[in-house]
Amino acid sequence: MKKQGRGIAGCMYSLTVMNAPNPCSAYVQMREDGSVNVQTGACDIGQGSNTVLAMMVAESLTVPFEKVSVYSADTSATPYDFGTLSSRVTYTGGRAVLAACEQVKGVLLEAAAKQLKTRPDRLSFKAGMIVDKYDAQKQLPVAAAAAISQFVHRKLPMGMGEFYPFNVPVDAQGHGEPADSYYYHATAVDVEVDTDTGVVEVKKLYTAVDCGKALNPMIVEGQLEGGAMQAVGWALREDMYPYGTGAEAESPDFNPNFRPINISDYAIATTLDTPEIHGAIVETHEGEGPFGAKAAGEICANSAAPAIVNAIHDAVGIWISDLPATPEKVLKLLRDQQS
Amino acid sequence: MKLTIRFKLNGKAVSAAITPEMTLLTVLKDVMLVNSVKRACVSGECGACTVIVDGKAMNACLILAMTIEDKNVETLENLGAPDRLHPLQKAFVEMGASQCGFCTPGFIMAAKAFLDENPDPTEEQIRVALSGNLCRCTGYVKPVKAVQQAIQEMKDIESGLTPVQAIQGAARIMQGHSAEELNIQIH
Repeated sequence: MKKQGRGIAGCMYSLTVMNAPNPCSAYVQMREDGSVNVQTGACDIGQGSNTVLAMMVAESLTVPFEKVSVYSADTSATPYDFGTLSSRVTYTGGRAVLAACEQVKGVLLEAAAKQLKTRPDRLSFKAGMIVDKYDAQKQLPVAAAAAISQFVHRKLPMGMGEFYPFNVPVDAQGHGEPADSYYYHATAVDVEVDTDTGVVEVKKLYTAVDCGKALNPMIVEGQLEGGAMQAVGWALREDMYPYGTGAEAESPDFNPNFRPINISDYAIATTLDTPEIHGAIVETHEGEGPFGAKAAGEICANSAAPAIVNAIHDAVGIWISDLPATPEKVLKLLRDQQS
Repeated sequence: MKLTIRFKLNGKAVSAAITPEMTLLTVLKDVMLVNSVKRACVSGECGACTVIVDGKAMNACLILAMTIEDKNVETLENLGAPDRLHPLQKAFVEMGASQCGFCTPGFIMAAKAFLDENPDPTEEQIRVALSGNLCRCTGYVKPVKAVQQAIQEMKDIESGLTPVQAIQGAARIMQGHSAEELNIQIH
């Protein structure tokens, strides 16, 4: 017999590494043709940080996105970054490139002020132009300001930015502020449990993340959907355990082999396991974040597994305390429940 | 022992010096230096090395190179170039159907072989056709939607050009490309 159940779960996650200094740094230089080179150690492992960092630089310097090139994560050439972990790259890297952009803007404003015979504090950036706020006749393209600065005033429009996320390491009494900020995620699922075979199927999955400002909503959607798929795999099929027996396993030096060792046994979810997924982006404004952004990383995979466990309980009244909820475990718990 | 095999790679007749234990994946990646074919599990489980052999999508890591003598091997390089993407490539880009991109060539080749045989599939059929390709970043919602979008665009191309496409095509012809080269039919 197939029984339906529904479950929800929510979670929070630290934005930036907890209890440790974890800085990011960046070099930004505008060339004489108005194109911008960005160097940073922030590593894009597919989450899209190169894209959003280029978007932030383009927005800050009011140049087209296509004019910005990001060179990232070459330890022999790019300035230091702590690493791609703990959902920190957009937030920390964003603050670092924006700090560098502010220095570039300062140089450009000096050059433009001399050229336009006005003061830097009267000037502002507007859609690729540097404009006098009180005299709209006085304006200069950003690229021209870069060329004038470089060739006439002998000052390169470049900047060096760094950002240390705030944290106060937690002491022995538990006092402190572990991370700079936090972000939130929730999942709701409809599952169907087959009480004859123990097979659990996720039918519908609703996933929502509070990511601050969604700088690139398409990438955030991808993170939501991909995270949900990882979690469906963890909740129902993927299992990894140390492999070793007897006295060897008791030894303090025991270095276990892990099983399974291939993807056919560690069965990650495929197109056929994909439920109907509905993603929601809950935008908030993080005052400290670059353009109000927080993150949309690991958290997207965090609350679906507990939601599925809750839904299984709702459907058949058993509690899975050890993931994954394989058919064998579900059947055994159902039998225990009957006897 | 060295052998020489001859086969067609993306329409061009090529030959390669191989040893008997080499797989098609090794030949494509290390001998022919084809970039789009990815080496991941090397045991036929993930689909990252999917290529089209005589019209069928296959895992290159499972095919002994000797068996492809005289066969026609097609990789992602044959589909399009950055200035004239295949509808599948265009749809994957527009939908954001990849994040790290490692699985994407396999997805696109699997989808192409499938659409060549079945140009008007249901969503369920698309899912089955792509079930041999694993993705860990962005999941499967967007790849499946991208294939559906590509199908729609291929239908539009067959039924004639939209005004925007006609203008884009004309602009490219003015840049020195011929209509045949761009695969555009002018009505």
